[in-house]
Amino acid sequence: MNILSIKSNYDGQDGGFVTALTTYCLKEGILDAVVVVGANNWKPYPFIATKPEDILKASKSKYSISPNNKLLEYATENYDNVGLVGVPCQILGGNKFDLKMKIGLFCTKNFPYDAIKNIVDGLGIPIDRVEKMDIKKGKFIVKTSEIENLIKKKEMVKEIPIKEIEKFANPACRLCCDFSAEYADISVGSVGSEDGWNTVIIRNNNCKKIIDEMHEKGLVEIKLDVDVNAIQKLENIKKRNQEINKCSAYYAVCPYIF
Amino acid sequence: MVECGSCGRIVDKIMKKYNLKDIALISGAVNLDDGEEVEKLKKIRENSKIVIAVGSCAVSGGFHRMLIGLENGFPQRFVRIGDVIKVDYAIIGCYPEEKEVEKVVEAILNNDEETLKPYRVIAGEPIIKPYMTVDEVLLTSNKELCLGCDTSPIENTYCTGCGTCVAKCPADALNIDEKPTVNMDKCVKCGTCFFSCIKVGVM
Ligand SMILES: Cc1cc2nc3c(=O)[nH]c(=O)nc-3n(C[C@H](O)[C@H](O)[C@H](O)COP(=O)(O)OP(=O)(O)OC[C@H]3O[C@@H](n4cnc5c(N)ncnc54)[C@H](O)[C@@H]3O)c2cc1C
Ligand code: SF4
Ligand code: SF4
Ligand code: SF4
Repeated sequence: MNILSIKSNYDGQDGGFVTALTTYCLKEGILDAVVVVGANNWKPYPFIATKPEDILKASKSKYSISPNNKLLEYATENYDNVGLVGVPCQILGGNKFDLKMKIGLFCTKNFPYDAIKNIVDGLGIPIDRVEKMDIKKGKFIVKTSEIENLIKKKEMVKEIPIKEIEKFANPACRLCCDFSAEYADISVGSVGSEDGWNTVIIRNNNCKKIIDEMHEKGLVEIKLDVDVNAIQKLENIKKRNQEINKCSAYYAVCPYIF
Repeated sequence: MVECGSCGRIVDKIMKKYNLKDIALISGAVNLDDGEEVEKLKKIRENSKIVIAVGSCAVSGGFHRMLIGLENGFPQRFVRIGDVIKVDYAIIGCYPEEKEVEKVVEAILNNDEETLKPYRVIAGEPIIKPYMTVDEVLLTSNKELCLGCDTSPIENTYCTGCGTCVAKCPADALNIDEKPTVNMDKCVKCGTCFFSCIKVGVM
């Protein structure tokens, strides 16, 4: 395992590394298709990207549920080398398919779309004006830009503590044990790196080779100083759910019995 | 037995690979009105130490239970293998993953009781009783037996919305926006969605 800080030239959620990596893999023919997430007014929808330019539609995090894995049967039947970008629960399901590369995102929680819409409404921002959402340092942050006059754009940032909105999260996330997508070939997040950079955990040699190539071609900048403790802390919080999970899986089965 | 052929291919491959003699893997539903087939099944039971039902049709009858076949004017009834002979282990899935079937065979060869437990329970009584221990409930929740609450593969509260079950459904019976719902008109009650759910730890 190898942990790095990486930044790319793409305008992504953090360092844009996921966008850079998936674009590179499609360009070089390492992958024929990647399952990624686009959005309409921040309502996510999964799609299969087969051309580098498709990937740009997927950049930035949408904090709502996207059923990515529903496309995996179709994708693996129709393409030889399929990649998946997903949060840890999706990567876990990805194990059940023959995938060439699983790119995991760090994840603490996710929301139903209606919940996110209400939260953003509550901050006084119409959802179609939102330019970026982020969860960082205990806060949910929403960025918009208003047009002040014809040439100037004014940026507006509103935030709310996660504590106040976590009750609206998908209840399944309260039982989730995986923060850093342990089953992925490569995991990407922001915790542990400077703003504007990605933390990248490389979990196999194939991915290491690809990143070395990207580095040689000048597509990414790499730094070694990652705050590993910050990642560990979040991993440990999630690991505690393992015990609860042992019993709750039973409830998942049949409400009639209880 | 009566089947589409997907499970049969897996069975053939694994029987050959492990050169199995006293362990019989059987796939497909049984046509109760085909005397020859029923006799053949009973023979297999006599000649084998262990019988494994492979695939939803073998385990629960699968979609065959909904067919009312007519051959030469006579009705054909399709049942699960367990209705005709004793089954030791059952592997649900339409079709089950080859590596899961291999896992069960290897567990038998290695006497690995812990791994085999869920498959033994599924092979047992095909009825969810109103009072069962949680352990049994988890392991027997086979869609055939559902009492009617099931309009989704698992209780939605615990569903992450990952979409895995939707891809695995052989009948294209699941729809998903954020959480999956079952289109009962299409569902063949094979249980694959439940068993492929990331929240159910059978894999
Ligand atoms: C719900 C969610 C919660 C997260 N929580 C954390 C956290 O607590 N800490 C942390 O460090 N990082 C978290 N991340 C990861 C972080 O937001 C970035 O996705 C990651 O740092 C990659 O950045 P990037 O600049 O490379 O992304 P980009 O290059 O912009 O690429 C973004 C990629 O994310 C995918 N994506 C977007 N929305 C979703 C979604 N809803 N479901 C699945 N895939 C999606 C897109 O397909 C795209 O490929 C979370 C991500 C999500 C989606
Ligand atoms: S917190 Fe866990 S269950 Fe929830 S979206 Fe993230 S990976 Fe999935
Ligand atoms: S929804 Fe699909 S996978 Fe689930 S039991 Fe019905 S047919 Fe099988
Ligand atoms: S596999 Fe399980 S968690 Fe994933 S969408 Fe289906 S029911 Fe929900």
